[in-house]
Amino acid sequence: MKKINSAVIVFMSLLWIACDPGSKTVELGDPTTCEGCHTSRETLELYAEGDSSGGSGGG
Amino acid sequence: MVPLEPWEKVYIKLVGNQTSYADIDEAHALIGCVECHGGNEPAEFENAHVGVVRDPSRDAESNCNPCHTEIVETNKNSMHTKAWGEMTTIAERALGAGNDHTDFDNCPIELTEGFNRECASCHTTCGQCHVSRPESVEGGFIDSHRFKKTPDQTNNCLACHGSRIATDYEGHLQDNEPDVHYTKYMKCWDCHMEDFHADASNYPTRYHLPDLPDCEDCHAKSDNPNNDYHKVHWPAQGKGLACYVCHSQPYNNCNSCHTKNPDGDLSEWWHTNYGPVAGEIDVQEGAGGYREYPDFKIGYNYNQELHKGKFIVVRHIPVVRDSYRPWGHDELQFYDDRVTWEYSSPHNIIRFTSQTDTTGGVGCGANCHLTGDNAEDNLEHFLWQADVDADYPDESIANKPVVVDNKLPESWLKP
Repeated sequence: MKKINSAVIVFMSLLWIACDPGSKTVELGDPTTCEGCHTSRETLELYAEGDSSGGSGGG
Repeated sequence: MVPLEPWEKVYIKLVGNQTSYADIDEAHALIGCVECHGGNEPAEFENAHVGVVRDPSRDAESNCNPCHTEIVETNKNSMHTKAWGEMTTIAERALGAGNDHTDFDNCPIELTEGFNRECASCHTTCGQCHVSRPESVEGGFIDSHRFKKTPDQTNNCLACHGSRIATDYEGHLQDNEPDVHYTKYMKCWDCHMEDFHADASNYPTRYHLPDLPDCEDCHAKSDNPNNDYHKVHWPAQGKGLACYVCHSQPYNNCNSCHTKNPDGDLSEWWHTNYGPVAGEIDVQEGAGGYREYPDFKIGYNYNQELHKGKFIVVRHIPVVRDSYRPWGHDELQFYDDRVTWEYSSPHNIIRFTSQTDTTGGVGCGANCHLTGDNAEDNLEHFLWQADVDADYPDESIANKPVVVDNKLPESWLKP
């Protein structure tokens, strides 16, 4: 029984490691300036994901 | 047109050796973002966007004027900014024939307020032609916030002029071909040389503007002196056929109005007044959806001072007696004073249409005149009083000037 439990623990651990989304590193511009954000696609995508209003639309 | 992704709408893409917006548009970069758009810089996201103005050119006098003084001054009364033609149609139907955009302010207040709230807001700003897509397709930069002197045909012109012009010009209707000018890669401005920024306050409709395109600017009667059809039908004031009568394919007609109740409980109003008629489809895009159907109708030229040719091509306009009820205006008192099949200039021109098809050596009259083997089919080309009475009975009186009954030449009716 102990062997089976160990195998399950090892398997679950491997599964956890494989599926861990971890953290995403993005190339951010200077976040305190307009250009810093608006020239960084990754930054805009991140903000768009968190902004339910759908963004300002850009005129 | 599919709207851009939210991030895409405001993305300034640096390419190659570019390191900042100044490398894209040096002149506008000198002004700085906050100067036009407001907001705060430097700041974190939340504070940066406090008070941000999405389209600064809505206030062109403040934001565009310092550099573009002359254009700003005339453009505030241009056809694209003011929609004078829409004002004329409302004034004529609310106040009576002979009234035009200059009388619009005399219309009942619910019409003027509704217009300013709903129609006027659609009409464009500097930015919606020169830097981003228009509001009607939810905006978004076209070319990384680079201001372009000449607008982009697809993303600017056709984003607004889509359901009729783009559909026709690019040949999207079933069984239609693209316009011959499209297949030769001609752009809007190759024909449309009128001054879009000009003050148009003296012109009741777009068809009154000076320097409008005219087929004869490029195609002279003398180009092909042996063309018998041109000899007989070449259009002139009060004579002949408008070029579209022979060279236009079927085009979209509209069957729904765009008026909405600001409170929302009659927001589907524009879906309830008509039809359906054969071939009609429900288009759920653009400014809230509309219904349209392809058709082709030759009508009598009811304004021969304005349009060349005794016969013209006409398109059904979606307006009914109580179109503006959602605005609180129950009935257009002079609804019968203006036709609802109006002069049209379809952008789907080709040389050989079903009207000009001479396959097998038949004359093109065989596809148009009401004689011979095709007479029954050819009736369909024309707008008859009986058709209006049957399909649109409340529009019978309004369209008497445009139906062809008793107006076709005798030679078209008898063998």
